Amino acid sequence: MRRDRAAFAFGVLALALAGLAFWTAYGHVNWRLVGLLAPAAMVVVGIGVLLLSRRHN
Amino acid sequence: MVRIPGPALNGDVPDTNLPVITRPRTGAMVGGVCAGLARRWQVDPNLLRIAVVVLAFFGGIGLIAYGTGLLLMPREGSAEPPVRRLFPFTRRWSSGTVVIVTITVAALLVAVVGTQGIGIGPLAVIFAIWFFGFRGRNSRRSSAPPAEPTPFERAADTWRQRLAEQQTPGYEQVALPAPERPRWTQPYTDPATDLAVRDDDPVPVVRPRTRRRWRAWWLAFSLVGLGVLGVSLLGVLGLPATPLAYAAAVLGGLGLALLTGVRGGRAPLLLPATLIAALVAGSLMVHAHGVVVPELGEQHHVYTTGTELPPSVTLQAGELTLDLSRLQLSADQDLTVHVGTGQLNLLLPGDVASDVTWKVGTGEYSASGGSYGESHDGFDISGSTSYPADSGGTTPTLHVRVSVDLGEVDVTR
Repeated sequence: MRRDRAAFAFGVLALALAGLAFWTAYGHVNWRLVGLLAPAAMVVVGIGVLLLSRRHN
Repeated sequence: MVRIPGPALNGDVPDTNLPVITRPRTGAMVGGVCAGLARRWQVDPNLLRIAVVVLAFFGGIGLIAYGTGLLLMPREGSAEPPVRRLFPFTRRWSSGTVVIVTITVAALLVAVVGTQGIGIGPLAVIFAIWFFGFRGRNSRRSSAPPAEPTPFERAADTWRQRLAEQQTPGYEQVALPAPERPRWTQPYTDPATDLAVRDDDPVPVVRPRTRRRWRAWWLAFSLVGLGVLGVSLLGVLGLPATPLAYAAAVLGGLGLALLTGVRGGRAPLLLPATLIAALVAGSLMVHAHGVVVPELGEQHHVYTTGTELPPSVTLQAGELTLDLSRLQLSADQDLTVHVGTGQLNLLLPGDVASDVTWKVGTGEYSASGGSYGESHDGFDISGSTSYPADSGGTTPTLHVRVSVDLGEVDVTR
């Protein structure tokens, strides 16, 4: 079955941004932690998209 | 995988028998480098193309990497990489030497070109997209019309279409005019196991998907509604139900709906809707809540008088150098310096007494110059040092408070 990589990538990023927005709305954002987690999350999303794009025979 | 037998086509030099990734003749957009690598790694070639384009904006690194691949990867069916044709003297080298030299030259190019900022990378990318993506494809399309299918291909297509229709759920036999003699009917077969079409290119099953995909919007609406309801309940409980919170709820619901569509297919227009929601939530975060865009990069400041000296200097990420070595003060003054992630170089004045209070979350603190020398590293380290003026007399004092979250502090007197 063909998997929708764009849906996966943008879905994860949308959830991450929504979480950040909630944090901003209801608390004080620790931008240092965000700065550390953001690139790690991007790497995880990239690896996930790569795994989804592998052809399954 | 193709292994090129040894070099050099003249047999003078022993080869290393390196595995070679070839550039396919079909499916290539420019030179076939991304298509070849994608075929080898079994990933979508568009991902690699995007990576090359993005890297091209960083000093042209993507272009240099692509050029390196173009030189080292032979065409499908050929055993000789282009670099050997372009530079015939490399035919006497082993494959390993050719690879090492080419990559070294590419690294040197990156070191030279990559330091020139964005450089010509974006221009080259835009030109390549226009030339190969639009102009080249259009000209190819106009100059080479698609070949007419042969009678056998027409018959095969018709037969496949007929089979696909019969396998479609809900298929009803179309009433045909009664033939003069009984038509041949397909004997019963188990579609899963016995059906004749079993090649590598499975027969596409036509399904009425459009209506079902639109139905996926109901799931998105439900998730968004749950999120909005949650924010409203928080408002009832006393927590502020701000527009940002509602925007976050909508964005979260659409993001979840996207994730549920990874396998079954996402609803039409769900992706643009999510992007719009992300823009709204992002702009509300930036403007309504005063999120400051962090200062990044390398900064160098020189202060020589007390009036020039600001009360505080902040850098979110990067390297900050404060040159106070020629600073003259007429009265005591305070300076607060903060670096989020990176390095702080602090050059203290010799004619003014200094009092440095420092704090490092994770990293290293070092002081040097004259008789002063100390070094600390670790987590949550702090301390203070006083530096009297070189003249030894009574002078104004500069009180410096230094803090670095993650990185290094280097104080020089």
